[in-house]
Amino acid sequence: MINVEDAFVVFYAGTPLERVALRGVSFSAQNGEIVSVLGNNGSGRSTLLRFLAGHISLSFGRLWYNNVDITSQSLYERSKIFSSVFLDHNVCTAGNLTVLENLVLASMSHQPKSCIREAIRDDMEDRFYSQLRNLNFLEMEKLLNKRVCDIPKPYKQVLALLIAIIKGSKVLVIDEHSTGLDVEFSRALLETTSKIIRSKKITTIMVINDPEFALKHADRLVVLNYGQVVANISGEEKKKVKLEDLLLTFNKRPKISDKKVPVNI
Amino acid sequence: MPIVDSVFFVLAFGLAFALVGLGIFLSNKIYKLVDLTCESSFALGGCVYGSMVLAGMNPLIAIFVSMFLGYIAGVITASFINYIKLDAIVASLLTVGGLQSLLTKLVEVRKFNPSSVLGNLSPISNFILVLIVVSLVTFLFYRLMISEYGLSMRIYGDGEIITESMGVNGIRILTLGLGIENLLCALAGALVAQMTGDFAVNMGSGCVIFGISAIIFGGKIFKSVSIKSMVIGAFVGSVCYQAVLKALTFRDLIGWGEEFSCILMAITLVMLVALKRSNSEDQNRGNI
Repeated sequence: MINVEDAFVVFYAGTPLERVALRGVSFSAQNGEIVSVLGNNGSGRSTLLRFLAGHISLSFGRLWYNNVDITSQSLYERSKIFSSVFLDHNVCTAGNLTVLENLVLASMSHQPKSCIREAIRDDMEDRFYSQLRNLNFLEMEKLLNKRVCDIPKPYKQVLALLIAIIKGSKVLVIDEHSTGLDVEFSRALLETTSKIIRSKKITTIMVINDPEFALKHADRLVVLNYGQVVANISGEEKKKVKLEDLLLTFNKRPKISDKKVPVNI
Repeated sequence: MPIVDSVFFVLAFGLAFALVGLGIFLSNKIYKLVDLTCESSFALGGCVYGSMVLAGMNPLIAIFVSMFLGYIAGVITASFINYIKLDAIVASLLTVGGLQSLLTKLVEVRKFNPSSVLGNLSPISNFILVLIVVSLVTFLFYRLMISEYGLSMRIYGDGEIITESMGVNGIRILTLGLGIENLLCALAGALVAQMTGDFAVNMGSGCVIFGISAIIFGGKIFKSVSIKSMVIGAFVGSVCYQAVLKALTFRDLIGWGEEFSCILMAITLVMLVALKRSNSEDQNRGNI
């Protein structure tokens, strides 16, 4: 179970540029639950996800995973549990390596690596080729030996998803990975995404710029505004929610609209 | 020196600089960092090896000591980058500055021992010695690059976030990589000191420019982006480039004089980069 407790993120603290991106966000997600984070631009969605993935640290607050405090863990430690699929594919795939090398590296993440044994062995190519063919995503298996920076964008996002699965991460953080794609590619990517996260029962926290998709697949909806949670809908309540009502909550003002940042820990 | 000996001397010189090329290849192409430490670790290798041999010690021990000290120089730079979060250029400049003072002191107090082997080997035996050492080291370097550990080193160039997300310890990878780079440069320095029988504090100046031009030169010959052709390209590029450069400036061959080597390197680098910019589809600006 993931517990986010009173999370504050302040950028450029103590300068005239100071900006409070998260003002005391608290929510929790059960293992295997799919959480959809919604809100307008600038409401703190991406900041929340970047903090969960470990790219930025909290100014105040706590993060618990299965009742273990992991707030101050480094990105290296955090990546044993969390994986990310972000709009910026440079932070979730290695552009200079081939698709195969990315997958091989993911398969031995957090394991001791040998200086003598060859990384790419003959059987690996066949293994990953058949795995990609089973995935059946726009003939991705043909790109196995291409460098990641040379392949089209939807493949990079699927690769990032595969890396997360192969690493055996417990939590997947997805941030607008289908933004900027053609309608067709976008649909294919979202289908593959839901197929993968459903079949692996992986806890997912996602921001998707498609409220319909979010409503259909999520088990819990968390709406942010002004860096605070304005709605947290799950269970029976979530099944009754209509898209129009959901969109209205986006502009709801939080109860305490200007919560003060606590003194630093 | 007769012409055959000169040719062997020049070739041996080129081979020794292949190690510098491989070191710069590691920091510049694989890690996408500009590490200037190799300027001083080259001189460190040469001066330590030279001083130890002149003091009457076993050359084999001397070569291992200079390699070890080169490794330490790289580790110091890597620690500046890892723990104080300095920029790579500033971090390596600090190491270069520090080592420069130490080396000046070391070379000042060197003791002469006429019975040393330094510079006493004939150019052909020097060539064979360097050929054996350099081919062995290049083979080991290539094996490391295609190994599992090498794969995790190669991801570092894509940024710290993806490195650590892939479960690769970025701090350890950077420390080891810069260590290896400077170990190679120190070994090259020691070999050059052995060949020429001479060493000086400023013997490493221009190493970085040399390495970068050699890699671009090698990349022109071997255009593929696979790791195998990149390593071979760095090796062949360095040997050819340094051999030609040395032949132009070496007094027994064409003989323009040593003082021209740095400006020749600078001019070639500018020409290579200009050529690369004008006819490539590579849009990665800022990446040499």
